[in-house]
Amino acid sequence: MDLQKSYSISSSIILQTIDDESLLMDEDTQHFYELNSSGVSFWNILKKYNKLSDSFNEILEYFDVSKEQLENDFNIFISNLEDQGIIKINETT
Amino acid sequence: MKPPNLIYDLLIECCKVTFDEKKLNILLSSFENWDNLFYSANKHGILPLVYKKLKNEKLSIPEEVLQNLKNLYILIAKQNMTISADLTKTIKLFKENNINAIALKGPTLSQLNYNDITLRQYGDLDILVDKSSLYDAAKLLMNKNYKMNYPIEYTKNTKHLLLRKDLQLKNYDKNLLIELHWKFLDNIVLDINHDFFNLTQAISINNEVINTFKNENLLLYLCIHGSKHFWERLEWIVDVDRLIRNNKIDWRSVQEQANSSQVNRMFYMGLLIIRSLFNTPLPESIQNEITKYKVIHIVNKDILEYLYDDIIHTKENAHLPQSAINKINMLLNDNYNDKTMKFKMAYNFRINQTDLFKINLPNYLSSLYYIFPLVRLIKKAFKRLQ
Repeated sequence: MDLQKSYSISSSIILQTIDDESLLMDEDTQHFYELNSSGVSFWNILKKYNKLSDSFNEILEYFDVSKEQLENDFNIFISNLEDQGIIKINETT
Repeated sequence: MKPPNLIYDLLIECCKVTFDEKKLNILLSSFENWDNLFYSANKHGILPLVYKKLKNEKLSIPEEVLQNLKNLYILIAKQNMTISADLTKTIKLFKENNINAIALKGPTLSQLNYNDITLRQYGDLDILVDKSSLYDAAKLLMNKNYKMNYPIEYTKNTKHLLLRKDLQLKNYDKNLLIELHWKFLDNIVLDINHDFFNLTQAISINNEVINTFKNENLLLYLCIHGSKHFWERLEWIVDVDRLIRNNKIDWRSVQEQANSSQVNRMFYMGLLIIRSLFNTPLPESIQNEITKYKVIHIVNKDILEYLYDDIIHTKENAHLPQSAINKINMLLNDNYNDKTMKFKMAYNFRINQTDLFKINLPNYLSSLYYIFPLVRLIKKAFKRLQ
């Protein structure tokens, strides 16, 4: 995944915290996406930025993991959100 | 006095704001009837509260049971999120069309009492609008795929508006019901457009400002609603308890309104029942008032017995017979006097909602609707004679 790309979060997404997990709901499609505690942290950081590299770098500081391992997890997370229509990766950087 | 029952005692304990670890562990020590507990909790609208209480790590609950309970709670949370999203969309739609709307119960009450839309159970939306806006509000919803079960023209029939208290619109694709109200406490038509800001407080749900009643009006509304339905859901009792505990109440104002609206018995009924079950703190002046109404203490005993029986027998879809509810409503009516036949006659000689749908009479012929209760009374008299 090209971390230099920018992204936008759909305006129809609602977050609801349940214990240490969260539910994301798309108001338009009424699809749900469950986030575990790590996912919630990822999500909160994603909301702060609009460039993948900025989010990635902050998450790397936050979690005590290697860059390679995080790249893998981050790619999966972003791909899942993109598949659900929760975020949109912009083609231009 | 009823014998102790584990399911009943557990549910009541879960509804309390206090966490009594010792008592809960005693109740849970030999408890196995989880399916019935979950069933009753769901039926009484308190499953989220049961989950929140029982998930405490100081309690001994099998992991599998807790996971099942959590899964049920998440299903409720998802439903609530869907309904809340529809509420914010509806309110936004009304605002764009200059319709003042007051959201009742549902997500707004959950947000007000718990700061969390997932901790109450609700299946529909109740929205109060000014009578003059009813037609437009209904029309807007119909354009959004909501259907009414009778022609929209009825919303302009004066008798209809006088005798009915709500309008039901359903979106069958989303399986969501919206009840549009135009009366407060079933019989008071408020000038919502004129008094909107005096009547309401603003709450934020999903970053949208939603207006609901101020605490005092809400308290009165919840007490009247619960009393009219015999407090047959524990959730309604918890609603009043939490509203009082978690929000500021101007007691003098709510007492004045209960008095001027002649709903004292129903109001104090609500306060008595929360005190009986949850020992809700109430000002001394209120406690003194409660003691003055003898009839509510009799009804309170019946309500608690009914709740107990309903929970321990886990009767599916069981409701109190309408005749029993009617009797309770008469006893809790401030104007009821068992020496006065006049009240009973007026009560029996009233037009009901079904009568209005038999024929849509123009306003100048609306008195003819009284033929229906007259026919009913005659039929009843004949049956008795036979």
